[in-house]
Amino acid sequence: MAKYIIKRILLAILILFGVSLILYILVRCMPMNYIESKFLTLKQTNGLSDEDYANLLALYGLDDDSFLGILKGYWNWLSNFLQGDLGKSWKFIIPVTEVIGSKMGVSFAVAFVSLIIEMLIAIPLGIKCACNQYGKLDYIVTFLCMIGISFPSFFLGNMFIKWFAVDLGWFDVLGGLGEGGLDTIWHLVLPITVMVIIDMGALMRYTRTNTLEVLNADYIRTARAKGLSNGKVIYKHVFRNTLIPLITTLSFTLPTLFGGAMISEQIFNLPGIGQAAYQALSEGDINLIMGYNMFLALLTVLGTLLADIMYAVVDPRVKLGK
Amino acid sequence: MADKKKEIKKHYISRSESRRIAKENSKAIAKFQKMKKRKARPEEYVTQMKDDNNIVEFEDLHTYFFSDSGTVKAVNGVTFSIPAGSTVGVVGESGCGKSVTSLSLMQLVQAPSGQIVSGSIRFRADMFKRDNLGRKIPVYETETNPNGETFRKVDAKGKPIIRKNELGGNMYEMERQVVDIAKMPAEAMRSIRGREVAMIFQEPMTSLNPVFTIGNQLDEVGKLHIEGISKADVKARSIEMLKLVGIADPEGVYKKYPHELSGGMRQRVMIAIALLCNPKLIVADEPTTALDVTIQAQILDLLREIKTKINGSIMLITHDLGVVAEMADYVVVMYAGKVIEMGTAEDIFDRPLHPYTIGLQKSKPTVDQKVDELYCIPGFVPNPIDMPDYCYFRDRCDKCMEKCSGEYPNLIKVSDTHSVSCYLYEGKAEVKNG
Repeated sequence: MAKYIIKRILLAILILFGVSLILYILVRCMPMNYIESKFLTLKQTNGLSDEDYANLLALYGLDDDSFLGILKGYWNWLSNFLQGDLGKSWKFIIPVTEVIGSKMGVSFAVAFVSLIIEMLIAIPLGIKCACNQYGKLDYIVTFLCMIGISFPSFFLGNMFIKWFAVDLGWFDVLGGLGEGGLDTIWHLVLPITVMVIIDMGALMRYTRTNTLEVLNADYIRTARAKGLSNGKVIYKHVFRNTLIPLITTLSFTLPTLFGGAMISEQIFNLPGIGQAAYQALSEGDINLIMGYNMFLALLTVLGTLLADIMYAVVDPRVKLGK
Repeated sequence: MADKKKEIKKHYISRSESRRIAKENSKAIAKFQKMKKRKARPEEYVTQMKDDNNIVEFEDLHTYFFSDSGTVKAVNGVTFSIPAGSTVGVVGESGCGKSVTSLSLMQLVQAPSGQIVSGSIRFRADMFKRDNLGRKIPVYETETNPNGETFRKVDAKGKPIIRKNELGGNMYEMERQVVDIAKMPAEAMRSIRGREVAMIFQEPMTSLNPVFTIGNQLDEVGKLHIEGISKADVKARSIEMLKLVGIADPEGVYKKYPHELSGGMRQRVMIAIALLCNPKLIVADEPTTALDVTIQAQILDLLREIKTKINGSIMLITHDLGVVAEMADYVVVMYAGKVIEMGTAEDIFDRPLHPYTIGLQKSKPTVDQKVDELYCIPGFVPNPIDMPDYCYFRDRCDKCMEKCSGEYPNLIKVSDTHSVSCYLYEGKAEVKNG
């Protein structure tokens, strides 16, 4: 097991290296860079001389857009990264690690609470629906889940703001975190509700499908033949087997858990990491984009590793090794 | 030409027809599901046996599957009985309804589409006696003092001690009841399953839950059916059962997961699970089909040995005539959801009567004869959705007569033990009876 994990971590380093290279090239290929977005208008209105503009580009390392120039930029970024320095965010003017560290808390809190609520609703509901396949409950829940899955978060988010904040006036139209304490919790109700509605459908459908598969297994018939009650058959024999694919998929939610929800945070004006990343992306803040995406990549790699380990934990047939 | 048209129709259902089928199905399924979920008083399903020597009597059992393309009459009027202490072999080709018959007996037919529609399955069971409040009545340990008065023994706290039964659990007052499983609600059925009648399935590889240890799955039965038994006693009982089914290292296997065992070992574990509560009837649904021949013989020996040990009966379902010849006292031959011939093993093997049984015997490979090609019964089983009105075997039968196009032949008693459902023997029976 330990050997396997070490092997996977070494492999992860290689993957992260590749990810960073591709990311950097992609970011540099974006049509608008940071200096352009900040100073292009100034330059066009002759507020900034061509020379100064070129100096600015050179200062930020954005002057050479040839392939070699990009590679050189990447090398600079990588050597800093290997020394543990993610650079300073150009937009927030503080180190990238500080941006991530200070904004992660809000994102995590929102994502974690909504994940828990999602699980508490979706998993029992999925099992219930599978046990009454094609029943009334099954049809109703499936219909509602489909609606939830189909809504884009920006649409549902804005509709909720319109209904509950503008029309009914229950919530703050501007969103944000409020003044702390109960007020903050009240401010988080809408974003969490939206996230739960949108993500719950998939989890519920997944649970339902897996449960149905397990329900038809031979060993469930054996369990019934023993004379076990329906509840015991479902919550012991069926559930443990449904859990196997479920835990694996839940491990993959690690990046979303810490990485924040870019669009929802932007809509509800939550000062989370997703909103910061959104702003960095729209202004071409390369250091923050790189830092944020590397953070996501690391979480993804860890998530898959966690999924593999969890697989071995919940399914005795799976042995990690070699 | 007319025939051809009919055949084309069989492969195709119009939209209105499929809508009609779906409507009828959901109606029928809802009705039967409701019946299974209802709370029934025992009077509704307690009956009498026709013959007190039997442990199980199937009478005119109909089990249907309400499928999207129509109602499949998997078991279509099956009548036979299992005498106590005997082994009854049910033979027939795949899809003839033998497994569904056994699953009906366990009330394990794949619901909601599969339902017992009519008929009865009478089973003689030891049921718990209940007091007015529906509680079980315990049997207490008693003592007789020198004056000749008997009174209940009490423990240190002054509570009466409940007597232990032979499995180490609390003893309750039992009564022998004949229950009709076809009419029993699911809730009441649960106390019979695993305790009075146990089942061994066809697929040992997939019949054990992969995420629990063998010990866990064995203990479960003990904990469920033997009330008041301690954890240590359950474990001891489980290990004892593993030993009984010939597992060399019962303590080791107890801790293992199913995937760590071979198919033969898993089937032994399944048998151990089935036997844990000393059931009166073991339903073995093709217990050796998935196993290789050497293990097959071992498993059959084991079943026979155990049957004498617990003094139970076996309903053995198989398509292997060799297995039946070796194991069974009585044989029931099924074809397309009906019993076509039944009798003692000698009757069926030495004097087969129905053309299908004769064909089956002929298609069995034999060691002492040199044959270039094995015999095979021509034709196919009719489509289960649109069963003809006449004898289902007519189109494949080489002894087909004019009368065979009439209605389905009744079972004709040829001798005390032997009956057959074929017009060939209609006259002969009368001769014998007279």
